[in-house]
Amino acid sequence: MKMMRMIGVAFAIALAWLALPRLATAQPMSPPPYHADEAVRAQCDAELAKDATWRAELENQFIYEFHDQQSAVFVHNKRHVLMGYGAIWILTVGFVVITWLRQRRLGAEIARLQAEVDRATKEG
Amino acid sequence: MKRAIVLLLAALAAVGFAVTLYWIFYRAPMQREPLYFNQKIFYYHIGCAFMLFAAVFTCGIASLLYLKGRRGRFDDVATAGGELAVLFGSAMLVSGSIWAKVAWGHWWVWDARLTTSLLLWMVMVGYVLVRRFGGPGSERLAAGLGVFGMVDVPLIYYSVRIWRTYHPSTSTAPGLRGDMLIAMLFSVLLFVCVFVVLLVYRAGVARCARLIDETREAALDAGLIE
Amino acid sequence: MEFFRHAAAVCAKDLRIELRSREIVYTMVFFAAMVVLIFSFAFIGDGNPRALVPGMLWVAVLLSGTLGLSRAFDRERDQDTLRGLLLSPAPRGAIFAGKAVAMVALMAAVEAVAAPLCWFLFDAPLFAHPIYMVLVLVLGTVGFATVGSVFAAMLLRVRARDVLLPVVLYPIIVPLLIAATKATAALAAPVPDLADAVFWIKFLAVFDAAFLVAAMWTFESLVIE
Repeated sequence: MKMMRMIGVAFAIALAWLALPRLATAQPMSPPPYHADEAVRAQCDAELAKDATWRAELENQFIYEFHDQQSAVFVHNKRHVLMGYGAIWILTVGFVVITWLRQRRLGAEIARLQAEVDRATKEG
Repeated sequence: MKRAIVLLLAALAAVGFAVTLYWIFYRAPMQREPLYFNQKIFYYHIGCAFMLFAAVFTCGIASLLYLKGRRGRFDDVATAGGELAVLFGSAMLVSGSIWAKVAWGHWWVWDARLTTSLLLWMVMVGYVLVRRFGGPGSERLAAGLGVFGMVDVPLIYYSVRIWRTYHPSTSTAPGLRGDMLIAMLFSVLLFVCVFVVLLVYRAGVARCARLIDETREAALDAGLIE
Repeated sequence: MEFFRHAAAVCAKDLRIELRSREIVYTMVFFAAMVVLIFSFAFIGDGNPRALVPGMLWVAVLLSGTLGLSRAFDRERDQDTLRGLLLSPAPRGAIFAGKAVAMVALMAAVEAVAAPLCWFLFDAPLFAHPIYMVLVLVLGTVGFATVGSVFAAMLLRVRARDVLLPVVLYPIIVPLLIAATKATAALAAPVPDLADAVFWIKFLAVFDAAFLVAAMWTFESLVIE
């Protein structure tokens, strides 16, 4: 019985282990990191520093793009929905499994008592 | 007869599982403002919320009946109701806090509804703890707790609502129309089926445990076992 | 009339025991003062935590009340005197009412120390409206004693009663805590908000009424031997 329960717990942990990275990567929330070449970056910074208006224009453009990306992510955000539905069903299934284990334990108890009664009546 | 009804409900729940997912994700239109796709969490969340209240009241009424007539059957139902209240309360709190993360940016907000359900959930966790660790003679205490918990529901609801609405609070239930409303009704129905099936199942297990204990006690009294 | 006579007898018995030993009152009062002091050590930053005073007061009252409850009912356990009480011809409701009233008296002694202590330490104008304040204290105490006495009596026969009493009592009592704290805060504010206080006082009255009815209804069947 204890074995069964431990196997069940191990199984649940393994499932969660498998599912978590998937959930985490289901929807990349942030854009991948950008590794700029330091020299090029310094050059860009220098160019940008020359013309303030151009810099502002560029920044504006990127801000819009960034907002668009973010809202696209938000509008189709599957991650939290999946998490919500998953949590509800995992809890329900967990409850059923626990109740089922309890039922099996009771069944074993009844079988044990029945065997004892049989033995006693045979002896008596 | 009873068995047939339960089996029918179980079948309905299995079908309803597919039907609700279909309605929620394919038929119900995506909400525009302010949550878009995230609003889909709501459909199951509301089902859990209704079942939390249903379980608390089941537990309370069964406890009351148990105190009246001392019939063990009601005690079994109350046990099942208490555990289901914890189950649906947990499901509701978890999905609710995921919703809160999306909608308000925090996992937990001291919103009226969240606080209310947290308190109810705590009462029912106390109930389950009493059942689990109370030892012999705890049925009566558990029954009293069930009744008091039920009396507490409107008081908690009312006090927390007034308490929180002194602060501006965000509206939780988005206006639902058309297919969205139907999807919500379907999921509530699904949870009603799941609730009834689980209630009968859990009560049956509780009944089995009680019968074993009673038989053992009868055998002790008759001197058959030590 | 008979009912009140019985209740008064039970209450007088409890208070007489208490007057002879004075064990519960002293420990409860000291404990409540301790809680207030601990709160002030934990929360005193740069300023005066006057906004926290209502919460402090009520947490102190409720915690010490729990202490007193478990002690007062343990006393009935020592020589199994509760069985004697239940066997007496007094109606169960009267026994319950007597014990609850005795509890209210004990907690009143605690409040008589804790509330002035809060006023003294934090200069909070708790008694700007003494009648309302006393009403809040009385209603809050009655509600707590009602629910607490029922649970403490039921827990007498249960193994882990010291742990289970707070576990089952506090969630039930939270609406009372909210209402009492809110009313106290409204009364002790720099500009007292009487309308708010009256609303919460009414809520406390409803809470007390609901649980008094529930207790009277269920106590009989809850503590049957």
